Amino acid sequence: MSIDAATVKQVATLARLRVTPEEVDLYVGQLSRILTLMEALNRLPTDAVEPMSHAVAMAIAEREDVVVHGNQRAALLACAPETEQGHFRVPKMIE
Amino acid sequence: MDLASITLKQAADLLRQRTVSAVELTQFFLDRIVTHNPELNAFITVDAEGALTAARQADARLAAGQGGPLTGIPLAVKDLFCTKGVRTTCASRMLANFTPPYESTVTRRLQEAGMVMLGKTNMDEFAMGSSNETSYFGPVRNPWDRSRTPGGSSGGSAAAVAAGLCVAALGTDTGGSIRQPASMTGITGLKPTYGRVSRFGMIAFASSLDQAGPMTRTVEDAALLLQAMAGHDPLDATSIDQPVEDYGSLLAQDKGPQERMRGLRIGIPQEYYTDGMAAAVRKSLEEAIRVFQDLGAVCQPVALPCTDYAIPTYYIIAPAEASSNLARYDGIRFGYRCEQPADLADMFARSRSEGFGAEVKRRIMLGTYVLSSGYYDAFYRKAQKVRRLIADDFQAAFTQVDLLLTPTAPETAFRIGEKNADPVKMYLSDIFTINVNLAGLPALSVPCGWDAQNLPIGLQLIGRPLQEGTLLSAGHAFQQVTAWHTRRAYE
Repeated sequence: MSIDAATVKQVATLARLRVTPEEVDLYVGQLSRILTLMEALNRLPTDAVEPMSHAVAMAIAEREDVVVHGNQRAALLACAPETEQGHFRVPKMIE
Repeated sequence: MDLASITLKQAADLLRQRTVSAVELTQFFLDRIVTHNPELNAFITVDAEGALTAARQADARLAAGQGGPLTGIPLAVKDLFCTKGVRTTCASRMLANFTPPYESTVTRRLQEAGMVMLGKTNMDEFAMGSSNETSYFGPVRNPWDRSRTPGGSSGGSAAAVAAGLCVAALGTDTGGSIRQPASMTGITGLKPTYGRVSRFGMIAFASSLDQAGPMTRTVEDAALLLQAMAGHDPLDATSIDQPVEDYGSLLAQDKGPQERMRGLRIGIPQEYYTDGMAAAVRKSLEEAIRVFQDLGAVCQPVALPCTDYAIPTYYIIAPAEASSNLARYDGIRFGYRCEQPADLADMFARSRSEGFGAEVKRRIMLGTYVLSSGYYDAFYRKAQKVRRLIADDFQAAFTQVDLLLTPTAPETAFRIGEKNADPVKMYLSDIFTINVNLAGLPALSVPCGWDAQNLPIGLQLIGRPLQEGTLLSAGHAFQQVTAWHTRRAYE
């Protein structure tokens, strides 16, 4: 199976990645080769098989709805590239 | 005694007898790291000050007679576990300056047991790789041959144990990332059952596959470390709420290797005998089968018919989960942000493109593609169905046998640069380990031979869910009657 340059660019947009023309060429080749490897799965009949999303059959874990870690604002903001007055700062979105 | 090759069990005895102090032991390994790390590149961050502080506390505990089997033992931690106040990079430019405000459950438990964290080990970026070459901080070199990779993704941890830069290390395994590097560096590595060890505070790669485990010189050491790591954690919704076996006592029992192995049924999956298996690996595996037979185990062929489908299945599911997990890196709350973003969209795209390396971007692209509208059923849903068939294969095999025995990797350590031009070639090096993660089973790698280039070979034992005890007992029996695990990569 092969994938074309337009699809690569579309996928990059969805993934919020910027790709150079050289990277587009590289991904066309590499992703096509990887997707060809994946075509092997089509040889297996799976109509009656239930999809498996998880290795362990378990119920959703529940807990009491109580605060456990308290106010971590300062510690979490300290990880951010840019903050202002207790908020995350981002570039202007609207002119 | 040569401290560089000391086992965890031996170190614990020396510490308890006060023959050596935790500070002395810690300083010894810190000195070795200073000498050997520039060449091996096994550590990204060394926390000498933190280690010596923890060692002093351990000595106080030991002096008061309050030490446990792990108190004062120097440990290397894969740079994927969040460590409060100690930089955690996941070997990515994206997190090169990230200092977590919280501690992972596994490292917290080991600290509480008194372990001394020496530093954070190198790895493939976000654990995506099989050779440690995708690290933003450069490749790790294999202590057995410095022109070769130590495997990956936990290559720094593997090299640190193999080179005597720590007593034991932590790794994580999503498709073989503990077992394959353990095999390629001649050490012992265990991937526990999915859910046995908490994932809280592990930086996520593929959440339905990731699992932490010990990397050590012996199976006994792996058992001691797993004991402290395993158990239910309310902070991880996928953590299994089942009692943890007493692995340490299980191995400490005065049982000979024959008593451990007699009557145990070991399956040899026939689909693993492919052209991809190197001749030396095949020979070592056959010798290992004879060792187990001589101990009284019954070895018989078993079928795992879906083996060939494991790699395509994994390379759909893991990148799909990764593309979703890595969507959090947006340049806003933590991690890398590009210089002078023009607007928000520019900031997202450039921060991600500059912050992630080539393999991570390739997998994000692949994962985004297989989850995108129009391809979801053909790829992602199909892979989830085949995943069930792969898990069913194992379940059927385990109605006939107690354990499965395979090589850990199809070949010994390859050269740096040998496979990284072709992603598919690299992906194929996970062929014997990857299906274990898809099925969520526990598996152990122990050294079982060396090839003509003096490179280690590992065997893999695979067990039923939560049967880590059976795996460890069989691996220990093997190490009671063989000496491969005592070989050292240094004088």
